Amino acid sequence: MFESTTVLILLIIVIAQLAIIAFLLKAKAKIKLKAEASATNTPQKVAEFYNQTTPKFLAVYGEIIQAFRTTNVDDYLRYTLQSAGIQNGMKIADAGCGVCGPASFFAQQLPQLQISACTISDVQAQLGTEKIIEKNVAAQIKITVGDYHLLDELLEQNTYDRVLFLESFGHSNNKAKAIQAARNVLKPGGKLYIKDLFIRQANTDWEQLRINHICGQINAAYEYQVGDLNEVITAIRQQGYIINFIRPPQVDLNAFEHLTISNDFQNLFNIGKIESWDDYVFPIDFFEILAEKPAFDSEEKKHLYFMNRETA
Amino acid sequence: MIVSAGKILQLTRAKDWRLSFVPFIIGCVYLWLWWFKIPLTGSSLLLFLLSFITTFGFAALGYFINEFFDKAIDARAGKANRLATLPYIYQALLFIACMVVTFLPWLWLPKNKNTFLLLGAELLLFLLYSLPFPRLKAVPLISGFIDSGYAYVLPLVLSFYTYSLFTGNTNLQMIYWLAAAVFFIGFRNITIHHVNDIFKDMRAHSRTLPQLLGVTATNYLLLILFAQEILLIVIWTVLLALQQPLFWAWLLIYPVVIILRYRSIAGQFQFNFISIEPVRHLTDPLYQYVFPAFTLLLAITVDYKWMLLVPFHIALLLTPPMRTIATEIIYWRSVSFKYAAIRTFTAIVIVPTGAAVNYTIYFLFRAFGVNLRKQNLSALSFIKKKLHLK
Repeated sequence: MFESTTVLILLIIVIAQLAIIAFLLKAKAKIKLKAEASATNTPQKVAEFYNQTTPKFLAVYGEIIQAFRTTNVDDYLRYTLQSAGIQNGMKIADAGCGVCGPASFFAQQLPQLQISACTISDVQAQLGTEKIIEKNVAAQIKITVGDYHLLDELLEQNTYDRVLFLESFGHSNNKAKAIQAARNVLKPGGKLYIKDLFIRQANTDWEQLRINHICGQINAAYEYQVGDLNEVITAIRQQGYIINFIRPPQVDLNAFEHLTISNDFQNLFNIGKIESWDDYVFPIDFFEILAEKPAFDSEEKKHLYFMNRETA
Repeated sequence: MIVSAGKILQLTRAKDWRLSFVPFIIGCVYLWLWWFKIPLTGSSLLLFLLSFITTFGFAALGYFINEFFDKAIDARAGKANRLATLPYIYQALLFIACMVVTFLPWLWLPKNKNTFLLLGAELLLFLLYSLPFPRLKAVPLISGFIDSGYAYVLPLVLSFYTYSLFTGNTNLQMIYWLAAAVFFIGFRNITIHHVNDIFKDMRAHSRTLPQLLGVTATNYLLLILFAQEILLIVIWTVLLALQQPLFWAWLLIYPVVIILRYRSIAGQFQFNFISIEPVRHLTDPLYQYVFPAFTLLLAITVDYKWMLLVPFHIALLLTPPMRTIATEIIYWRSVSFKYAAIRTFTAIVIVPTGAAVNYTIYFLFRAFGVNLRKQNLSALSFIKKKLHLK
């Protein structure tokens, strides 16, 4: 039934296949998968996204558009004040302020606080303006419409005690630029506070692939670019900040909201909806980063450790 | 407890095979009808029906054996195993039903000792793959070879051999290259299956090739398998068309449909995600839908009465959306379909013809030392320029 040609062809195919797989197995060690997700967000797209979806966010999240939070969101905002070291009399910038939910809360808590709130969305700016009037904090909050990558063009330089990114940093498509712009507006000794989600690092290639894939879907759904913590930390350090801490937000597990609001939002509006939980891999970690713009002149006395330098 | 036909099909995971590789095997059967010039008679219709039944039987039996010996492992891995939910008596009855559907048709199907060898090989592979020992499905590379062998290559060879016995022409030369291509299609699909089950397999401590290779190397493997599969199909098509010119049409349809499908999904993936994005099934709809439609048309050219199989194929071997499209095509009632038909005609005939003409002119000029592309001129402009015409 079979001719010698058949046997020969089959043999060649089997040998070729084995050779290819052997080669791939050998090459495997050299090609490790990185934690990275595809993203196409731009400031313009982020603006359009929030102009269209802010009412939906408000309907589910309320005025605090943050996924990581406590059941009583005021507790989380109080925690933010404490964690970022915000005190009465300070001048702070809220980069990506949404509808000024957190900013108006901070202003109510600390009556001497001055806040420059920046959003890229006209709709959010309009709603934010209404909100701060309604809450009687308009004297403390100034809303600016613009791209936070250009924060140093929108706000006065070297004057701010804190620059906050409260789950807004991930919208950046050039994180180093956003960090630099924040540095330019901070006064010496001022601090950058970032609270955001970062792509999770997995132990195996396949888990990392799932994570990268899911983060790609998050990016596409929210005009986001889930950050790589290592890259962000590198950018912060390269720009001469002194890192105070990097940690998950320190909330009590019993008070944690368990991300149910973000899931509800996704299901309700079909934005980034998780179609199947089968083999779903949780793709992100939440971290807060506090980093200080040195109070000393970075260009002077470079031979000294930063703790041995005199402040300006 | 009443077990309906639908439930039985579910228990044998019919969803996994009825609309994936079975349509391709049946498409091959249509091809044999054309190749061997078999008209529709009582005996040829019986031959077709019996081969259809045994194909279903083999697929169901394979899945039954697999599920049966996977029960404990699936439980450990948290994987759904429908068979495990069934009382033993029904499991036994289901097994008997699968055996009957698989082997009873062979009482009437044409056979000789080679047939028994092939049937034995098929059964042996099922068992080697699934039995607790040697359980070759747990041996990374071997499992791919065996799965591809019993799910794709052997059914193809067996069906061709049966039809060749029916007509008295037992030369297998016609399917050498196809069988090789089908091996790669099978290998790709089992690799994809292993990717789908990767976390479950890890939990069950079951080692598979994608686990060993990692993501990037698996992506390369899939690309290589695609290249091998497409190359072999093209070689087979050319060899077949040299003997039966009508088959040249497949050489046009095959690449055009691949290109159209690639264009429709190209924007949705990156290299890193080849193993989990729809592009991993780039060619599969061709084998599931286009190939059987084409070969059924070929069979109808032998005897128009084979049109009888059209509703049968649509009802049993197409997914509901494809069934709707097929009905639209048959009744020619959808305006959008007419536009699609014009687009397809343009893609299949106009574009390749235009490209062939253009390249012929280009190479003709190159033969005379003129590079039209470099000069950014059409042939007509070049001639006008040379003749100083405006």
